[in-house]
Amino acid sequence: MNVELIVDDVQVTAEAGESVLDVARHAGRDIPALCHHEAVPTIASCRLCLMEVRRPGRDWVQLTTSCDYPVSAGLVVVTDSARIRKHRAMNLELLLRRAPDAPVLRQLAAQLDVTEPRFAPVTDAPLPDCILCELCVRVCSALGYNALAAIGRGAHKSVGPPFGQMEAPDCVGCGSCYEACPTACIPMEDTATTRAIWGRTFELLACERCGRPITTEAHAATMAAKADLPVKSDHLCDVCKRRIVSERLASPGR
Amino acid sequence: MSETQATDTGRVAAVLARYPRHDPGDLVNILHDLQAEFRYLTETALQEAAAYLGLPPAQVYGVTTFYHGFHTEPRGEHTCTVCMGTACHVRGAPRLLEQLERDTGVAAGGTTPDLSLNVEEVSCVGACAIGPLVILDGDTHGHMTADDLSRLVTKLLDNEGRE
Amino acid sequence: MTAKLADPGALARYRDALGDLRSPRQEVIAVCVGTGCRANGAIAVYEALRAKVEALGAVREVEARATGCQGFCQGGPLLLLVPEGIVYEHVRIEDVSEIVEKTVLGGEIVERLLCVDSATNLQCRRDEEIPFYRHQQRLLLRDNGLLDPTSIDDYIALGGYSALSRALEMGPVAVLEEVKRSGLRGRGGAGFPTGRKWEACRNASGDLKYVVCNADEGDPGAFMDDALLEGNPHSVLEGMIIGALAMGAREGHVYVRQEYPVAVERITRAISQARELGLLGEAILGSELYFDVQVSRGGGAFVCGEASAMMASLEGRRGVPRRRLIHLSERGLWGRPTNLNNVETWANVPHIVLKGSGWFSSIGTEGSTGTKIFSLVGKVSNTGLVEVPMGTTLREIVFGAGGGIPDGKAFKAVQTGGPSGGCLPADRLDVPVDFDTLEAEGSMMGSGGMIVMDEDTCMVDVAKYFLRFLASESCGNCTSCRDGLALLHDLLGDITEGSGTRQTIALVEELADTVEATSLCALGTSAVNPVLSTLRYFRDEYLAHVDEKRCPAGVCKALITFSIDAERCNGCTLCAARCPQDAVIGEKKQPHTITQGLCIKCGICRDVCKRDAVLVQ
Repeated sequence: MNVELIVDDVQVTAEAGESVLDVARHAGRDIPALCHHEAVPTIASCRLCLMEVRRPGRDWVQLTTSCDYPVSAGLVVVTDSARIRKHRAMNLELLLRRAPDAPVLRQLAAQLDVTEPRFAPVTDAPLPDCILCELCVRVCSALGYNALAAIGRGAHKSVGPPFGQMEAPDCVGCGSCYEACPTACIPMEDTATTRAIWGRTFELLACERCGRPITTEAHAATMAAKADLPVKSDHLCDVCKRRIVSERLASPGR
Repeated sequence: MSETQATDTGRVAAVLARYPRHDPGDLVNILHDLQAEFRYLTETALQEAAAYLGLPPAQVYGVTTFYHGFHTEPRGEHTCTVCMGTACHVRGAPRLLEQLERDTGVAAGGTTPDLSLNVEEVSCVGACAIGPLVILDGDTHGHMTADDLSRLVTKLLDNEGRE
Repeated sequence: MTAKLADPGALARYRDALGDLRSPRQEVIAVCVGTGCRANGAIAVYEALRAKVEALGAVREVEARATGCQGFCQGGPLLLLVPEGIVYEHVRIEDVSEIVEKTVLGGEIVERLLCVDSATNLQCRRDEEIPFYRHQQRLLLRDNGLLDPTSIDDYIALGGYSALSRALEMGPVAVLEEVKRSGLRGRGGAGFPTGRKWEACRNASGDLKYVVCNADEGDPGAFMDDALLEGNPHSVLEGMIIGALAMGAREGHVYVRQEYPVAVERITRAISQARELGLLGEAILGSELYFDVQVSRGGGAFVCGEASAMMASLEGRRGVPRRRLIHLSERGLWGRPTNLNNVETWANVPHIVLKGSGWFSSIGTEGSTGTKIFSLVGKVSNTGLVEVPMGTTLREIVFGAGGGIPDGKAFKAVQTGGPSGGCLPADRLDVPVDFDTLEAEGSMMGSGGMIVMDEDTCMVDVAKYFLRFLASESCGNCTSCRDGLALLHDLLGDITEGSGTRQTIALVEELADTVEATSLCALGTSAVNPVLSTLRYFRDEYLAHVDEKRCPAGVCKALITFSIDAERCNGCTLCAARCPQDAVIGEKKQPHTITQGLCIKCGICRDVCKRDAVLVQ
């Protein structure tokens, strides 16, 4: 079902249930959000995607996060105001204590005029530069591996392998957490043949055609098992797969 | 598998058997029962609980560490808990905790290296009338002073040493 | 095994039979073994008494009964003689023989064990003469002193489960209407109208609905729910069964804080007793009602008192709150319609059904009906549980029932609403206590903790205390709450340690504003109340800390010094012997002095000094 709402004075049509954040971003609004990913459940942790919203029939405006707020008919949304910027800047200051050099935060700091740090940085975090958004945990769980845990709570919360271990036994080395992390704080090192992540070292599977690494053997095996395919189906990288398709299309014998 | 491990597995299984399989709603109750059995939650026990309930071990570990009532490290034999409820606080509970930490060299939440004593704080046990109070191995001692506490704990640990 | 009660008539006959067994003239000596008295040695007193009474044999029909919290914790261990209503306080094992011989056998009062009204200096012979009880209207707590909470027969003999019979007769719709008309509002803190909550759950579609009892009483300094669950578990259970009838719920949970092992044991026992008598399970009292309850223990997380976090915890997940897009009454536990009410709310329900909404709403104020239990603690003469009609003033509670401030000290503030509440100063003492007025004053009702503070309480230290608690209880999801509260605690630490400036106060206010405005759940949004309310009412104290580097209440260690009054000190050497730092020096029988460089301000010297010679400035 489609609904109409107003985002920054512009009438927008959206599907009921979509988040205001996604709808506003599709409409071209620039709302910062570090913990949000359309593919995984929302936890509304970073508190940067603030908006001011008024429901129809209400005469008061609520300041709240837009990522976990579903659109409904008649919402009036404002994505930028002095009040939004003030609180967004403060939450950014808090995040900067955890990841002072993360490019994504530095860029936002420049936009929001956050200059001199007013609070002491966090120095005892088990994973430096982590802003505790749990995207790694959520992505890993959505993929069904559940190799990572959100551990502890409050300011002592952390993310990583369970049971206080350095190694994540259920990790297959797919690297999705690394891709999803907004501050690039997850250490992952690839060589020509191996990948080291979460205390484990995985053999990389090379593309049969070009020799470039595709993914880890463990990851390929898991995916094949899930799809009920023989482990060694076709070890081709995405580039080569596309090439093969276009070569076939172009071949005159077709 | 060593004999102790075998017995432990049996004990874990006995605790789990009190609950239906694959009902994650019982997780916290199970963690309580396992902790009552072993004093702390071992990785083996948590892994088995996860398998029994059909939950990822990472989730079980995440839940365990979320709640302050659960311990994943070996625990001491005795426990001294200082009530840090508001009523006890305004009557001087922080000084009791400081004294206990000084006497034992362990911060609240920790255990002495010889595993003799756990130092704990709790935010109110509902006995505000006799605050500030400490609970030593389940016995409540009310109207405590730092000096009383020092004597109480020293006496307990000295007796231990002699045995 | 007892036979199940086939219908309401069978329950009435069961009650009558109990009445025949128990002669109405039978005397009961009720020993309070609630948490406070238990901690004070009440169980030993009870056991001594029981042995003594048993030894009397057939001479007199006397029963020694261990009851739940009778409320007057200050007088503990406490003993109530029924039916005379004589209350003995501070009873020791040594007193037991005398009580039995003099009072039970001789009809004579042991005067030294009576409570003394400090205002008149007169001894109080009966419970209603005691100032602590005189100011109360004990609708929910009264039976705590009369029944053995481990006995369903005691509850039934006092009329228990007759409200359930009545409710079955009325039918679900009439029960719901009665609760709506009563004006009952949730006792857990938010004060949402209970009837409306029930109606939403009743109207929600779904075959399986849940009712949940929130017994995750996490507020430090509050133990009303513990007292009800320990002292009268069947009253809570009866409320839940009636609620299940009204809403069409089939399953119930009691979510109990893990720090209350006795409450867990009592409610668990109550549930199995109710099952045996057919008050839970299939065909309750022969009706079509099916309802059963299980107990779930919390794991030690204050945030699980928040509805969405509690549902997560009940589902075996981390107790992290989420935005509730759809109301709990439509999609709660396991995605099904769920009703969540607090222990005290449930305990009110049987009374409303039995005595009617008109009677209930005649108690209290127009917007806040009924009574409210407060746990009155801190720097107050009579610590304990106080149940008063809504709308009673803070002054009546603190100075009436509470007997004012001990040791001749001056009242400074009363903190209501638990850690997220606010501190109200002396000029707010005449404020009537109800949901709406407290909120307008910058505090809140909360679940009913009431902590009294005197001139020796530092308000900056109190605010820091609450922040320490709330920061450690933050689930860690929202940046603002997780890191904001920890930083606020550090900033207040700077102030109490003497390194704070006016800029620190400004930064506290700025950060508090964002924590309040941008956190997801009520823990975060209300966590700054203690800071903001103390800044509003006690700004002078903050300024003394930053401008003059002085703690007016003499609490903040970095800003105070210990010294020995040479006039008073008689050189007994006790302090020197106990000082962990060897900072106290002096010859025997000569005035001692404290070496400031060594002193860590632990306060032991002041504790042990018998002559009040240790001064704090």
